Parts: sequence; C-alpha cells; structure tokens
Amino acid sequence: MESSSTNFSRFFSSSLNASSSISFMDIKTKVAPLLFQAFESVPHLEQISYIVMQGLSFSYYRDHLQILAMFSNSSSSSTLYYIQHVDQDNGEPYGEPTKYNFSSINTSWISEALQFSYSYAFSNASSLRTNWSIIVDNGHNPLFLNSARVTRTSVISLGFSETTVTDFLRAQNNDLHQSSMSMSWATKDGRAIVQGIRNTRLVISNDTVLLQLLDQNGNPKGVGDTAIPCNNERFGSSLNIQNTEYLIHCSTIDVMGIESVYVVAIRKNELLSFDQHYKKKGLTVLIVMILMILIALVSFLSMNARNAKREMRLRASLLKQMEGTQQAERKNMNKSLAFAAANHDVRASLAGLTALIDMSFDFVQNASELDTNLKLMKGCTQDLLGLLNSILDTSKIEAGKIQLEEEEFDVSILLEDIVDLYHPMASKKGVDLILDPCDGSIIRYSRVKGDRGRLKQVLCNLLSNAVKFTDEGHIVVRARAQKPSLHNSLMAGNSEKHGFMGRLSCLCLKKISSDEIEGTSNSTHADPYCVMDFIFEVDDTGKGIPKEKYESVFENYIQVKETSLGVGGTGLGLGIVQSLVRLMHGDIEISEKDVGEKGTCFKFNVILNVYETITNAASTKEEEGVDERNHTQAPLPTLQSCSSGSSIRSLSPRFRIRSSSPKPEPSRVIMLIADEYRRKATEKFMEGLGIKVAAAKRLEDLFDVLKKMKQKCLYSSSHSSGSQGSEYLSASSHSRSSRVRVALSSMDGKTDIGAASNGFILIVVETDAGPLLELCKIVSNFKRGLCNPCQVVWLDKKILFKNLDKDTIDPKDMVLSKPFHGSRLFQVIKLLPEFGGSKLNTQESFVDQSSVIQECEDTEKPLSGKKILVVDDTPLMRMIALRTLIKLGAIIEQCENGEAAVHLVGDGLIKDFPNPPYDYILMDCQMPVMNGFEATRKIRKIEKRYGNIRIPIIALTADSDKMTIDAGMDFHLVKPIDRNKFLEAIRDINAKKRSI
Amino acid sequence: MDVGQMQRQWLDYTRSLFIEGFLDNQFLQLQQLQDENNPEFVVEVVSLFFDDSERLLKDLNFALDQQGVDFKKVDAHVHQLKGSSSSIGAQRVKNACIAFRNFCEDQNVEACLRCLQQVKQEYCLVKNKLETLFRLEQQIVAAGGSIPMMELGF
Repeated sequence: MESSSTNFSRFFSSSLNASSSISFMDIKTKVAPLLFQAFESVPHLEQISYIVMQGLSFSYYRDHLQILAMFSNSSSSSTLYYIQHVDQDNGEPYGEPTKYNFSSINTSWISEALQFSYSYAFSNASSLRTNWSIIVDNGHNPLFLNSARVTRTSVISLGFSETTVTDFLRAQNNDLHQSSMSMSWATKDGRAIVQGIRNTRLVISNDTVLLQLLDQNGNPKGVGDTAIPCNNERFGSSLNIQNTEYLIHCSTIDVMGIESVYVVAIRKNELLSFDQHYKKKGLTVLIVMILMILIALVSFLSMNARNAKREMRLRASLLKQMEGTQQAERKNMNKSLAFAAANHDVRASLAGLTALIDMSFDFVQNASELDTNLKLMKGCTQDLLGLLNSILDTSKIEAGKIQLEEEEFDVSILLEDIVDLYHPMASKKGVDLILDPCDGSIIRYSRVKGDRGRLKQVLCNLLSNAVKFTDEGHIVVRARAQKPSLHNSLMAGNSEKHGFMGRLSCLCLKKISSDEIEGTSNSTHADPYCVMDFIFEVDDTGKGIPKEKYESVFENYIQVKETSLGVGGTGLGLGIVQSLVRLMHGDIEISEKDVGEKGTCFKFNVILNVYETITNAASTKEEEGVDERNHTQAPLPTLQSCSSGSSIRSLSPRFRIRSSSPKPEPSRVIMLIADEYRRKATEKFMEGLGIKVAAAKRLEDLFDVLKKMKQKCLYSSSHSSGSQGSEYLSASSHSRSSRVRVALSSMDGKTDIGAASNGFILIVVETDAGPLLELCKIVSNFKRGLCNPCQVVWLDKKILFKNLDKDTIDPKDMVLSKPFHGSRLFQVIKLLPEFGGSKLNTQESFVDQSSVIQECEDTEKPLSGKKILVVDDTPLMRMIALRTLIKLGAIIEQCENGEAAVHLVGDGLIKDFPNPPYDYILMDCQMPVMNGFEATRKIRKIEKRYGNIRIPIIALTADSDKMTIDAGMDFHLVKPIDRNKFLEAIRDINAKKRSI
Repeated sequence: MDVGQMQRQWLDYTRSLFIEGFLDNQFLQLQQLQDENNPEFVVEVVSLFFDDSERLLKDLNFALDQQGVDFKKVDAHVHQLKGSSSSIGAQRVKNACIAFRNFCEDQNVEACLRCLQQVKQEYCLVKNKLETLFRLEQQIVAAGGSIPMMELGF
C-alpha cells in the first residue's frame, strides 16, 4: 500500500511531462482517466485525488457503492468544489455537478482529506516522501491517507479504508479470545482502533499507555488506572481488572507509517494452570521414559555380560575339545603307522619262519615225529599269515586304499570252485554243502566283469564261517542274477552311472581303436555289457546269530561271544566282507529266517557288468557251459531239439528211419538223494528245464518209485510189440508208432509217471543212501527187462567205488565223486537226449551222428558231443590237442602213454558196451612205456572180444605213415595238430566206415 | 605310450617274427585257440615249451657228452624237441632239429654238437623274441587295451 502512491506519482510525472502550469481541462482530460484506472485497479482504495497548488484538484471517491468525482476548477482563493456522479465503467463524470458545501456531512471527510493532503503537500514541498495520516469522521470509516508529490506543484493522494487494516487485527483478536487472551490497539495520537480488553480504555501519553478501567456503563472509574511503559519489554506487568488478574504486555507497532500501540492481556490463573498442567504431564512422561531407558539399558548390559560369559566358557571348552580331538587323531595315526609297521615286521618274520620250516623239511626223515611237528608248524604259520592278511585288509579298507580289479570271469565256475573247495571240509563235519542254481540265471549271466578275487574272498569268508558254525544239517549257497531293481538301484546308482560312462568310454575307445588300428576291427566288437545284480545267499543250519546282534556282527572286532567260544578268529572277517560288498556297490545283510528254523542266512548282492552271452558266439564258450546256456535260454529245450532233428530229417530222407537222436518222448529222472534240500533244489532246477523228475528220499521210496515206473514202461511196451531185444536194437525204428501210443495212453488218462514208453530214464542215486549192495540190486533189477534206454549215475561222497569190485556196479554207469551240483549237474543233465546226450546211442545211431557231422561240418562245433581220447606223453602236445579239440566241441580224455590208453579203452569197453568208450583216439606214436603202435595193436585186440566195435585211431606223428596202417591205425596226421586236417581225417574215416 | 601305439607296435613285432621265420602258421593257430575262457593259453603253452625244451637240451648236452654216444636216445630227444617246437610254430628251431636228426642218422658226433649249438641258439633267440612279445601283450592289457588279432596271411 505504501509503495503505491509513490509509484503513482512517478507514473503521473512521466505521463504529464509537467509543464509548469496545468489547466483544469488538462486535468480533466489527461489525469482523470489515469486516476480512474488506478482507482479501479488498486485494491481497498477508497479515494484517489490529484491536487495542484493553485487550488485545482480532481478526485474520485466511493460513497455508498457509488463512485463520485469531486473537483475544483478555480484557482481563486475561495475555492469552489463540485461533486459529480461518475460512470462506473469509464470514469466519465455525468449529470449536473453540484456545488460542494463543506457543511454537508456526507462529504466532510473527503474535503478534510483533501485539505489535509493539500496542507501537507505544500508545507513540506521539498520532499517526495509519502505521508500517512488517518482521517476519521463519524459517518465514514477512518481513512488511511497516503499522498505523494507528483511535480513541484501537484500532489497525488490515495485513501485506503481503515477497515481493511483493522479486519486483520480483529480476526487476530477473535482468535486470542478463545485462549483467554485479549488485545487492544490504538494509534499514538490516542485514537483507539481496537478495544479488545474488556472494560478498559487505552489512553496514550508520550511513551506510556494508560489503561483506564471503565465501569459497567463505560465510564471511567477513575481508580485502578495503570500506566504501562511501552518499550517492548519482554515481561509484562500484571493488572487486576474486575477481580481478574491479567498479564499485560504492551508494545509499539508501525502500521502503514502510523505509529500505534497494542496491548495484550492474558488471564493470569488460566495461563498458570495451563502451564502447570502441561508441566506435570511432561514431567511424568519424561520420568517414565527415562525409567524405561534405564531398565532397557540395565537389562541389555546384564544380558551382554551373561552372553560374554557363556561364550567364554564355550570357547574354552571348544579349545579343550579340539585339543583332545587332535591328540586322539594323532594317537590314532601313530597307532595305525605302528600297526602297519608291526604287521610288516611280523609278516617278514613269518616269511622267514616258513622258509626255515621248508628248509628243515629237507633234513627230516619222512613220517618222523619231527616231520609231523614241522608240518603242524607250517600249518600254524599259514594260519598266522591268513590272520595277518585279514588285519592288513582291514587297515587297508580303513585307509580307503582298496581298489577293485576289474577282470572278466565266469561267476558260475567261481561259485562252483568255492563250493567244491569247502565241500570236503563240510562233509567231514557231516554237513552237506549245496549249490542251489535257483532259476539258472547265474549260468545265463555267468560271464561277468568284476573283481574276482574280492568276490571269492567274500564268498570264502561267509562259507568258512558257515562251515565253522554248522555242526549238522546243510549249508546252501544260492545265487541268482536279476536286473537291478529299484530297491538296490539306489545303492547301485553310482555303478550304473559308472556303467554308462564305461559304455560310453568303450564306444569312444572302439572308435579310436578302429581308427587307429587297421585290420583289428573284428577284435573290438561292441561290448554288450549290462549291469546285473547278483544275489548270493549263504544259508546254514548252524547255531545262528542272536537277532539283536544282526547289525553289530559287521563291525570290526565283534564276535558273538556265546557262539564263538572255542572257534577262534579275530572278528574281522565280516567287517571286511561288508566293506568289500559295499565296494562292489552291493550290501550285505542277515536275512531273517522263519521261526523254528535254525541257523543264519547271509544275503548279499553285488553289481557286476555282464557280458551278454550270444548264442552264435558259441565258439568262445566252453562246450558244456554253452550247451547248458542254450537250453536255459530256450524255454522249451525239447522243442528245440525236435525241430533241429526234423530239419535234419527233411534234409536227407535216409536218416528218417535210422535217426534216433530226435526223440520226442520226454526223459525222466529218478533221484535218490538223502539231503532234503539238495533233492528239492535239484528237482526244482530240473523241472525248470522241463525234465520230469521223480525224487525219492529213502531206499524204500526209491524201490517204490522204480517199481511204479517199470510197470508203466512194461505196460506200454507190451502193448507195442513182443520182443524186447529187437526193439532195443532198433529202438527208434518205430518212434513214430510209439508217439502214437503216447497219445493213446494219454487219452487213457494214465499219463503220469511212466507214460512215455521209450523215454530215456536217468537214475541218480546217492551211494550212502543205503547199503550199496542193495542199491545196486534194486537198480539192476529195474534195468533188467526194461526196454527204455537207461543211465545210472552214482553219486559217491566217500569215494567208495575205488575199493569196490567191478561186478557190483554196471560198468556203463557213471560215477560222480564230487558234489552233485554245478557242472556235474549239467553234465548229468546233458546225458539226457534232449540236452544232447550221446552215450546211449547204439552203433547205428553213432554212424548216423557222424554223418550228421558231415552235413553240418562248417558249423562252429562239428565234433560237439564227441568223446575223444588224446594220448601223448608231452604235456605241451596234450594241451594243444586239447584246446584244438575242445574248440571243435569235443569232450576230451587224456592220458600219458600207450599203456594207460589201452587200460582206459579196456575199462571203457567193459563199462559202456555196446557203446564204444570213445568216438576217436588221437594217438602219439613215440611215447615212453608203450608207444602208439603197440598200444593200437593192443586196443584192436581188446576190441575183437566185443565183436563189432572198432574205435577209429588217428596217429599223430612226425614220421612217415608206413607203420601206422600196419599197426591198425585208421589215419595219420603229421604234427602239429591242425584243425582242418583233423576234420578231414574224421571225414575220411567216416566215409570209409560207411563204405564198409 | 598309449594303447593304440602299443597295439601297433605289437602287430609290427609279430609281423617281423613271421617274416624273419621265427614263427609260422602254427603260432597263429595257437592264438586262435586262445579265448576268454583261456586267456593265458598261448603263454601257458609257450612256457610249457620252454620247460620242455630246456629239459631236452640239457638231456641232449648230457647225451652228447657221453663217451659212447647213444644216438638212438639223442634222436628221440631231438624228435621230441622237433615235435614240440613245431607245435608252437617255432619254425627255425624245428628246421635246426631236422638237420640235427639227419646227422644223428649219420652218427656224426661233431656235426651233432654243432647242430646242438645251433638249436640252442635258435631256441634262445625265439625265447627272447617270444618273451618280448608277451611283455608287450602284458603292457597292452595293463593299459586296458586288447590284443589285436593277427590276420591270416603269412
């Protein structure tokens, strides 16, 4: 507001371009529009006037919402003022100007203002400063007047309504009233603008303010007036107004250039109570907060302290523990080292002892007491060495140093070897050790790659334990192979991955090698390895292991106290076994037996890579094993042999009548085996192969079984034809009719045990099942008058037969002195015609078969099933001949000189007549004791006694052939033996025979 | 040395043995008789041959040292040696034996002694060669390789 008049004055001076004399017309035309513009635009403006010294003036003012113009146009001493209405829009005056009468109440204030400005402006002519004054009249609001000089002779003044200023203060005052505060305001010249403090009036004199107390009517009381110094003091004074204590504060204020004073009064007690109230509250809050902080601090500190204490304690104990651990580890390591060193030393001294004992043997008489003692000593050192080895194994396993050595081997042979190894030991104790082939899967997947030695160690350990702790009953070793199941593939996960990687690397290797090596691609044919899970069980009927010890027996140094008394051992064995089994990706456990069954059953599985046996690669397989495998792979072996037989027949019609090998009648096996488990296992296995088995437990049972069988056979044969002898000679000539008979009898419903008339009958008898003589009698009674081809196998455990005279047992019978399982079992099964048995053949069938050889000689094994005697004095020669002939599929017997050969042939003829004991004899000429020529002569002599028989003898010589024919040899081959030449010789011999 | 290299070396070596006439087809036959059932067959046979030959050579030495040489006996020994050497295909030993026997028939002691020396020498040669061959095979097997097959063509 203050600046506006000055600004206006500047503006005017520039626009008027002040000439010294200004006429009224100038004012009316030039100044008036500007004035009106200003009047309209400046807020709160009530009046604006332009005054020239000579008495000319022009002003606008607002009167009751009307804008009026007042002007004087004369410069005479008695100035006349006119008032005229003004158009609200453009400021043009209109209507008749009325002569202004200063006495008129309505306009008194404006004239006053004019006069005031006029007097002011020209009394103080030199200054351009603005000046303020308040003009008050009764009908109008007080006016704040602001004038500024435009030129030397003219002044402009602006009037603002006082209300605009005081409204703000009143609003403030109203706010103050709510908080029991009040305010009064007055200008310095004594005019009160706001009377906020009730019942008081401000009277200002010089620098002090007199606060006059008024009574109810507004008259000054005259008493209790208070003078307040107005010097902006900080602290106010107190005043009692109508019994109310007030705090009074006074200070000056400059409002638009007008000095004024304001007084603020505050009710004292209210202020105090307010003050105290808040003070108390604040204090309590503060105290509470401080207390809480204190409590938190204290608890925090105490917790910290406690934690620190505990940590210290823990650290101390940790340090102690660590020290202890380190010490223990150090001790353990030292112990292991010392242990190994000591073991080494002990082994060295043991080796020394053994050597010394060996040396001592040389100086000792045989069978003297010293000799036996030395032998015992040697046994002791061997035991010690075994013990030491097991301890070393343990420490090796502990150190994780054991690694598996992968090699290819035959699992079934290994198993059989081990079982055979422990069989004598077991049978010495009266315990039967049985190898149960289960489903034959172990034979099918017998070619495996793995650590043979370790597997053997595991099996040996378990078996020796079983033998050690079993005093009666039997020990069964079961083995089977299966695809890794989910349950153990978890364990085998590693190995399978390994297997896969292995296969992958195999592939890579194959690629590389085929790239690098020329002409060797046939050697690196794809390795069809697959992973199989081999499950072994060693089941005994011994003392058994208490159930609660099942877990702990596998820990090192643990023995079951109650049972191990007096048996010895370190208790390391099973620990080693477990470690080894786990190394082979398997696991071992003691499987629980049924209630009431004695003994323990250890069951473990290992994962091995299997070399899948391919049948057409039969040349690489051992003859018998392959035969077996072929049959186990073919679900219906009989069918197979039938079909092959029929194919032969269709090839050459002349074989149809004479051929006897394809027998459609099923063979039967009669067994007398005392041990129940062995009997059942064997029976099951044979039945699995499709063989009909009748098993007897005791002598009497055998008798019954044989009797029944014989009745059936005789029944069917009597139906067929009369003479048995002719039937026997041409057994197969009416194979067709017999087949018809089988069908007939089966329709009769009498087809259980001996329904097959001409079926092969195999009798397997244990010699110790009863008195031998009686057994022989029963068997020979059975055989007598029986038309069926028949073979007896004696199972001899105690090697009785060596001492028996030959009359007791038919020389044709087969005697097995080793346990009846594994390869012996397969050998016996192979006696059956379905499985390639050839021993039963008559002379005619023999010839047939040799001609069959001609038909299929270019197959891998042209000599399959042939029995050949190799006579040579040098082991080298024998070995080569053996391998060559085995490769051709033959069964080999060998002897060292002519005399032995003659004996063998003689014995064989007695036993096997009318079959020749050997199909061929391969005879070396120059031999010690008896040379080949003489042996041949003797053999021919013996043969003469049996009439029709002439075993072809092939001479193997380095010399010319002149003597060979003389001596009665059929053919001669020049050393070294050659596969093709040998086959040629056989072909030649057969041709000659047929021509005769 | 990697497997491939060793295998190639083995092949070269075997080939050289055949070309130089130390071995003949019979040795190949032996190799064919070897399979996974008898992985050591050749080695076994050859070591048998070594044992045999050494014994025979000793006997021959002894027989020829005697005052009155029993030529029948010598002939028998040489015959045996010839047989076994031809069985493993040690061709040069066999040839030496044939010559030896001829002198035996002539009852020529000096020539016999000379022949004995020759036989001995041939035997030592073939022994060394075969031992080297087997060592090579062992190395190949140890390195995880397989013994390459010799093709028939010699």
